[in-house]
Amino acid sequence: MNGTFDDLTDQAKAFQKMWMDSFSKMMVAGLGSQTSGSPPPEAFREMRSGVFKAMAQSWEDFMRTPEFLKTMKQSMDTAIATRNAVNEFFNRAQHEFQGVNQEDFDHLMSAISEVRHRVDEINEKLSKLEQELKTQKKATPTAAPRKTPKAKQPVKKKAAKKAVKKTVKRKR
Amino acid sequence: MQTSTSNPSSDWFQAQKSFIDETFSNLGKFGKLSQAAEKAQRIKKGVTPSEMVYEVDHIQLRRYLPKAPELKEVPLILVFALVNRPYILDLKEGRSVISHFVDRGFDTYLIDWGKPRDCDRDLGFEEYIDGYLLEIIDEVRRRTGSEKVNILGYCMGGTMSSMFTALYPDRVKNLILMAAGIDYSDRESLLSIWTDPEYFDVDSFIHAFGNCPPEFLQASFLMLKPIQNLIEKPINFWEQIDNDKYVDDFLSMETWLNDNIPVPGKIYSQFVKCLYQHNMLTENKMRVGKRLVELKNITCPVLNLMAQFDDLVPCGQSAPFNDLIGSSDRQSMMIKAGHIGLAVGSKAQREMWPKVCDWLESRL
Repeated sequence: MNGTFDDLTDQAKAFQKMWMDSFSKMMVAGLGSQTSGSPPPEAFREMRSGVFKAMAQSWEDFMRTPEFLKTMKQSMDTAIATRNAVNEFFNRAQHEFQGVNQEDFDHLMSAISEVRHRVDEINEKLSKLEQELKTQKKATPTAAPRKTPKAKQPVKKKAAKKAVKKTVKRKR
Repeated sequence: MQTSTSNPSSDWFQAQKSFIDETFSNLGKFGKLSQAAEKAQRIKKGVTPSEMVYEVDHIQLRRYLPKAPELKEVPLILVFALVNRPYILDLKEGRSVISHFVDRGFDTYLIDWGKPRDCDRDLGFEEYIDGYLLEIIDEVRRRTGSEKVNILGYCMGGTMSSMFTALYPDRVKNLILMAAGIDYSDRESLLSIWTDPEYFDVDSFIHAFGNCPPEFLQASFLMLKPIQNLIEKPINFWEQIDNDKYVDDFLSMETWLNDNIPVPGKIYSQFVKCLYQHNMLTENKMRVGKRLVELKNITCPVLNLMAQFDDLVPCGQSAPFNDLIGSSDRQSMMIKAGHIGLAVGSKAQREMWPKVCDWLESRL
């Protein structure tokens, strides 16, 4: 509890210091840049530009301090927690009405992405296999040309007719 | 007897007069505001004529209609960041990077990554580089019959282009990077500090929000220079509202700056973790899917463009790239500009882009 209070005090101090620094730098820059010879609007512009430059430098320095970063983290955590609460509320409400909610959608998307990864993996394996086959094919020496099988002698018509008659007799 | 208040030479009289003048001038400026708002509605998003030649999911490939009588053989593909719309590269006449290349006869293509939907939250480097970018580059190679392409990558698009070139060196003829973050060991930039794992839990953030919301990105960019962006800029606009050219430029730029899109959750998270937090690319630990990205595999000619006053990607993050690659032909160019000025700034338009065209032309 004390730690949190100290943190908050540190952050408040850092903010206060940043603003004080800004204002003192603005004063110095503003007074320093005023030239007596220049016409009033130009002198004013120069002064303003000096003031802004000083302010910008103070802000830039401040945004690098651990105090600012802690404040930033706290606000981010709050935003995340709020968003999670809102998401949860809508998920529940949609479940109550048997609707499709973000969670269901996320599950579906992760399932699709898993399937896609598996398909990719299979694809990869297949292309590896293809590559291996190609290299094997290249590596094997060219075999002697195969002998073409002899063409079957055409069955003579008479012999064929005899064979048909024999089968007919057997059936009878 | 004349009193000091009615004497025209008295200070009091002058002060009153200037107060009244200033009041009337401001009233007149109020009238101009509505005109500026009307003008803003008519701002064109890209000026060079183009046609959509390929589409995959929410991503489009645009080809710019050639103006030169003869086209160069090797096409040029512009790879923009996923963070904003790509028409900053073709913002308006006289401020268009694309028109430089088109006028010089380069067959110019632009990848418009489009607006990711909620269901695109799971798209990461693997899907973008090994998927979409590869598919689009192969499509351009098929269309043009060119074996290789020239790539120009801007900001995050430059980082992705360098990863692509490292993974597919045989497809890239020349690589031009524009303000591309490569080496994140330098903790100089505010973004590097803000994304420190101690202060920024990117996984919880993406788990809660899905995609990285555009408002979050815009707020982060505005906060890099809060005084300039939130105070000085509006004041300058108010003072220059009578200057038509200034107003035109201002409106074009503001239209683009406010035209934000979400970044898919997974790639945002990978970008923050792998690059900002663990600097994996320079340490040869970056993986796209299962493949290791080794920058030394980049052997094509490389031109690295940097902006001296870049607060988003400081030169310290881009410059080391040339020492990490395997190319013998590598050059850098740096101009006095900011992150956006590198593309549309008058100095870049006048001096840098003609030189970049020369560089590319001599390497085709």
